[in-house]
Amino acid sequence: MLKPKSCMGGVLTALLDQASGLAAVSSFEDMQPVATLDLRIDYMRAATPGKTIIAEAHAYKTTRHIAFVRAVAHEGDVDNPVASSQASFMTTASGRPGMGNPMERTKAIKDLPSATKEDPKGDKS
Amino acid sequence: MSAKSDTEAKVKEALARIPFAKSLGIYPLIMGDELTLVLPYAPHIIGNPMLKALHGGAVGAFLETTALVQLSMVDTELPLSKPIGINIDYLRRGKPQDTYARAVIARKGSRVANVRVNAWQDNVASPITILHGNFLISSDDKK
Repeated sequence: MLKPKSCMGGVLTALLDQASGLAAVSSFEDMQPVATLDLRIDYMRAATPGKTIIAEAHAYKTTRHIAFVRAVAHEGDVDNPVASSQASFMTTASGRPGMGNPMERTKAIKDLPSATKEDPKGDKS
Repeated sequence: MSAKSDTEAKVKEALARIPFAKSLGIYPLIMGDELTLVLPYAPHIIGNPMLKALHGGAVGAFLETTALVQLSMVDTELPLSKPIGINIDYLRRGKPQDTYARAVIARKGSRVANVRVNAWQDNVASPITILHGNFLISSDDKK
């Protein structure tokens, strides 16, 4: 079987997007939810197998609706990064009431449509 | 017939080498030599439950997988290519439904390949996300 090797780029993409998104959300005065506009990532080296990856994100500029975020993914030493990214985010709330209310969020998560049960035609993984 | 099953086997093998693709439930659709990957909707790939929007990271990883699998079809013997730099533009919100992606290798050199990937949901002409990036092609002398 496959030996656990270095993690795939996509995992870092998801991690950096999440970290950058959270930095963007918290950069607005009233914690606005955001959507990614664009994300560019540089992959500097392969991650060490089995090591935890840390993502640090900094929203270095925020306007009324847009946040600009830089992020670094590393294994403990920021000066030896695995990947780095630059992203921009846009607020999505547009005055929706209750966006920041955790109870409403919990309800929204519960109300998510469940995945269709039909079998994917391809792999049965 | 045989050409299709050949391509299908190659693609499935490439996908099996990416555990993260498996966890996202990505599966292929093949028409001749044209490859389309499908990211089936599942509640765990939602990024914003209030808007029911797909997570940008999940969609981004899906597009990256599409690029890697498309590149692996050129030579299935080699290990997967590695991303050098990618750029993802999110054009529309990902709705809670299946997403499709197709990759085009714009240029393939001896070491680096430039790939573009489009992802769409309802209409191919209205992509929800676009990726373009450079990938380091694995060669025999490495690893």
